[in-house]
Amino acid sequence: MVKTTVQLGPLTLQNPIVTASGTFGYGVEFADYLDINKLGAITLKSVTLNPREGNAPPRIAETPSGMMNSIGLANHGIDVLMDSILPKLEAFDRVKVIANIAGHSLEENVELAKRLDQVDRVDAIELNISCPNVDAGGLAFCQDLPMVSRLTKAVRKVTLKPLIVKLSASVPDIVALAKTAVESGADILSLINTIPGMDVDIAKKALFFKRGSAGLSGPAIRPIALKAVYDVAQSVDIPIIGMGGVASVEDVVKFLLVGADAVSVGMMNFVRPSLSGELVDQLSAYLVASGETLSTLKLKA
Amino acid sequence: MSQRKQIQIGTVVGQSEVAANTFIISIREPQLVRQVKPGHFVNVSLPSRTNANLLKRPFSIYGTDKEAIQILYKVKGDVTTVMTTLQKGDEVELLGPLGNTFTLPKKKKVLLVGGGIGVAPLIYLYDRLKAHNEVKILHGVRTRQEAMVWANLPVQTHVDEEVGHYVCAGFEKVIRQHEAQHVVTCGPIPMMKEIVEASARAGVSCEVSLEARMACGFGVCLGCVIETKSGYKKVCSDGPVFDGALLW
Repeated sequence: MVKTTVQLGPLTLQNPIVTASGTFGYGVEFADYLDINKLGAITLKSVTLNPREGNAPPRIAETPSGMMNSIGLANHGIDVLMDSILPKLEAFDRVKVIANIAGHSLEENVELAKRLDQVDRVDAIELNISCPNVDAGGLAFCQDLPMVSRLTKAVRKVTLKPLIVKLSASVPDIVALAKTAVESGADILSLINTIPGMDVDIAKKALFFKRGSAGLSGPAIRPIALKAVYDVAQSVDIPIIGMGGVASVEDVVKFLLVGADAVSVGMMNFVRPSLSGELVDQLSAYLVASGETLSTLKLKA
Repeated sequence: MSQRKQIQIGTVVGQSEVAANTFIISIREPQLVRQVKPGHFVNVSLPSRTNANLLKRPFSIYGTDKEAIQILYKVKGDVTTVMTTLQKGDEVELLGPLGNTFTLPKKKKVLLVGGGIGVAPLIYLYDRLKAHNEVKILHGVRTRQEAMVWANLPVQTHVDEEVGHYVCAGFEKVIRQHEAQHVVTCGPIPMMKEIVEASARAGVSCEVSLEARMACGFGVCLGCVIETKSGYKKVCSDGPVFDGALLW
């Protein structure tokens, strides 16, 4: 039996396969398709203090090798998450649960972190400062380094749980952004979020999405994600959860080779709902067949 | 533990063009045939597709034939264009059955109204209603070329350009003529809206089946929502069948 346990700072995962926020619901929706208890961790859909209806449709468009979304952080709010959803995850005792918070302000994120800090079933908190589909907060945070610092420090202060900061690659200097998050108290970095893009409705002579911009994800952004993880891994010493278009075990290995410590599956959960579970088995098989271990998966000097 | 759902590989058993740019494809997948009910849809992808088209495409069920499901589809884009080239023995990926189902009334006069390719799920519904109800089907098409030949089915075809108005025009009168007690419709949104409103005026229940672009098909991506009187609802898992009164 090959060893697959990974240590992400204070967070221990039974294997490095994670699911990305917004692509895996609250985990339970996928229980029909795979044993979610075999995953390293699942990341819950972003939560805000109050319920959010989300953006007006259309909300998605297919692109070559990917898709764009403009969901707008639609969610039931923190009360429903804590009272009705998290208890359903009690039955899954081996998979770690990462709660993703996406408050529109510093104060909202602090309040969310305080509330989730009290919940045993939450193993880590991911601070989403990189959603491109909202008017306040989201990606705007990532583009303001002093804000990233204040936000990360403020959330850090109110929780003892492992703190993950989720970064966007749509910034002038992702390394500077990563360093800011690390210096401000992040335990783990996750990257990348979707990339702002656009589509046009020719018949209507109008932008396809009501907000104009939408977030591009899927294999189309994988090369960008690999470079972002590579660049950040060269510059910071804390663990990285890499993501962006992961569709196969080869993609998982690529992210591990460029410096990720765990790898998250995103859009492809929609295309093949059983994929993340299959990747757990395929990664073990890859390690056995190649004679590698997770710690030897490094680029040659 | 219950059996896990997974993507099934179905095998094409036949395909034919039944009207202009309109095809019926039969795909063998016994497990799906055992589970499917009227109103359900399946998410389809073609393994021979290029990597460029990753998302599955939702199709309603037109019927079942032994161990095969039948899909009635119209060529609209890249994926349906490739679909027309599939031949006996070719494989497709199927995820389903997905979504909710139509109400199955008993001992009622039921009127089914399909607009264009929207007639597809209504034919399957007819098949399950006919034994216990008096069912009629109206099929509205724009041109004669789009009209289909309906063997052994009580379908009245309405060709818009010949009649001079859409199938839904003055629909309250149509409901009265047929003495319909329940209406089910699937087609373009403006058509369904008129039919829902006419049904409400006539005091008759009306169900609609919607379609939407979707990424997952099982309630997770939140990409397929439609605005209803009680907020956004997911076409894939709250629907695709809705009580018309909830929508308009």
